[in-house]
Amino acid sequence: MRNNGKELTDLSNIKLQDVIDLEFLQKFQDDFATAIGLASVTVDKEGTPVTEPSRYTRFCNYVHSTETGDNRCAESHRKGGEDAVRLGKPVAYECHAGLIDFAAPIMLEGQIIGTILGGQVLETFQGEEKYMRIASEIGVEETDFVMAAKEIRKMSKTEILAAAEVLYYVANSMAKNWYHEYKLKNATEALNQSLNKIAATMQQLASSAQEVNSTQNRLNREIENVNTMSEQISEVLEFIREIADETRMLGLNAAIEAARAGTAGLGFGVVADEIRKLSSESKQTVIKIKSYIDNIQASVKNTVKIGNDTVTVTEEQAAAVEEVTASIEDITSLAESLNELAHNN
Amino acid sequence: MASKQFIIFQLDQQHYGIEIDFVNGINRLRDFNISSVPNSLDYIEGIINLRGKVIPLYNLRKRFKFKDNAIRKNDELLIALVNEMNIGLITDEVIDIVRFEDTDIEQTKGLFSPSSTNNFITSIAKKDQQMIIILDVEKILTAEEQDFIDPFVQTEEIEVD
Repeated sequence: MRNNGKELTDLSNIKLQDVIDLEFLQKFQDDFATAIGLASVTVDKEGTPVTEPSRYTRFCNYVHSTETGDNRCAESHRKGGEDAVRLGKPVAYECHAGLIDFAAPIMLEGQIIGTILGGQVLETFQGEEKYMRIASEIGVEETDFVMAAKEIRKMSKTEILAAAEVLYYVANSMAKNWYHEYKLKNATEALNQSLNKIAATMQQLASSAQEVNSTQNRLNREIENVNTMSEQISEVLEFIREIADETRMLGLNAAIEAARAGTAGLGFGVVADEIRKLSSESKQTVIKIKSYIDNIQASVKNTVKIGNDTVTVTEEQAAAVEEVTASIEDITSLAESLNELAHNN
Repeated sequence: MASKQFIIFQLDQQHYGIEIDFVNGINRLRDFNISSVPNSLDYIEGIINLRGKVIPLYNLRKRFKFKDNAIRKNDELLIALVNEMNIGLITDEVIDIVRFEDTDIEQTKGLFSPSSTNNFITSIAKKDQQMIIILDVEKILTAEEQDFIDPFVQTEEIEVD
C-alpha cells in the first residue's frame, strides 16, 4: 500500500509499495498476462516479489520446484534486471532454460525502485534434447518437463518487447504520478504549517501592538497627572511668593520704624534685617522651584508628544498587521484548494 | 565718620534713594482704591486712604518725563514725609535700606544747573559700580504743587468707609 505519512525526501528510501498501488498493479498484471498470454511478476529493487505471479507456466513451476532450478532462474532474472536498469528501458533476453523473458525497470527520477519481470514464452520449440538436458541439470522428471516445454506459448521477440513496453509505461507513469502527487502534498502541508505559524505570529503581533497602545495611553494619562500636580504646585508656589513679598514689605517697614526710633531701634533693626534676608531667600527659592516646574512641564509636554507618536506608530503597525492577515487568509484558502487537489488525486 | 540711612527704590532700571528720616513706610499700590481728583495736576494720580489719612499719589514717572508713565499693578508706594505732609511716591519696587558714608555721596551742585525741575536731585551715592540718585523730597514738590495738594490733607482724620 502507498505510504502517505512517511517522510520520503531521499529517493533511495522509497519502496515500490510506497509508490504504486499494489492491488491495482496485481489486477492489471493479472489481466494483462491473461490477455497477452504471458507470465509476469513485479519485484522490488532487492529482487523480492511484491505481487503474486500471474499466469506462471507449468514449465517454470517445474524449474522453481528444485533449489538448483530456483537459483538458476533467480540468477537469470538478476542479469536481465541489471540490463534493464543499465539501459533504463525494457529488455528481452533468453533465460537459462531457453525461454524468452523481459525485464521492465520501474524508475523514479533516474533511480530504480523495482522491476516487472515476465515472459516465459518461446520463439520456437528448440528440440526435446535441450529440455531433457536442462531437466537433468536441475533435477526434475525429464519426460514431463519436455511435455511442459511443449505447452509453452510461442511469441515473437517483437511481440514480447511490445508487451514489456506496455507494462513499463503503465508502471512508470503510475510511479511518476504518485511521486508528483506526493511532492505536491508535502509542499502544501509545509505551506499550510508555515501559514498557520505566520497567522499565529501575526495575531501575537496585533495583540502586542494593542498592548503597547493601551500602555502608552495609560502612560499619557499618568503624565497628565504629573502635569496637573505641577500646576497645583505652581499655585502653592504663587501663594508662597505672595508671602515672601509680604514678608519683604514687613521687613522694610520694620527697618524704617527701627531707623526712625534711633538708638532705641537698633535691636529691632537687626531683626528687621533678618526678616528681609529671609524674604529674599524665600523669593530666590520660589524662583528656583518655578524654573524646575517649568522644566517638568516642558518635559511632560515633550513626553506626551513622544507618547502620541508611539500611539500613531502602533496604530500604523496594527493596520499593517491587519493587511498581512488578510493576505495570509487568501493564501491559506489557496493552499487549502491545493491540498484538496493533492488528496483527491 | 558720619553716615545716613537711605531707602533705595527702582524706577525704569535706575535706583534712587531717599533719606530714611523722610520715609514713613512702604505699601503695595494694589492694596488701595485710588480716587481720582478732578482737574488736578498731571503728576497726581489721585488720593488714597492710608489708615484713615488722605495721601495724594505722586507719579514720579510723569514727573521725570518717562515715555511709559502709566501706573502698574505691582507698583509700590513709598510714603514720604514732605514738609509735614505725607505723599505716596509711586515706584517700580522698593529695593533695600542701605547706609552710605558721607564720603560715598557726591553733591550734584557742580553737575547740574539748578533749574526748577531738577533741583530735587541733590547728590549721587556710589555703591560698588552702581550710582544711586539721591532725591530731596523737601524739594520734590514745587510751591505750586504744594499749594494744590495742601487742601486735601488739611484734615488729619477722615471717615473710613
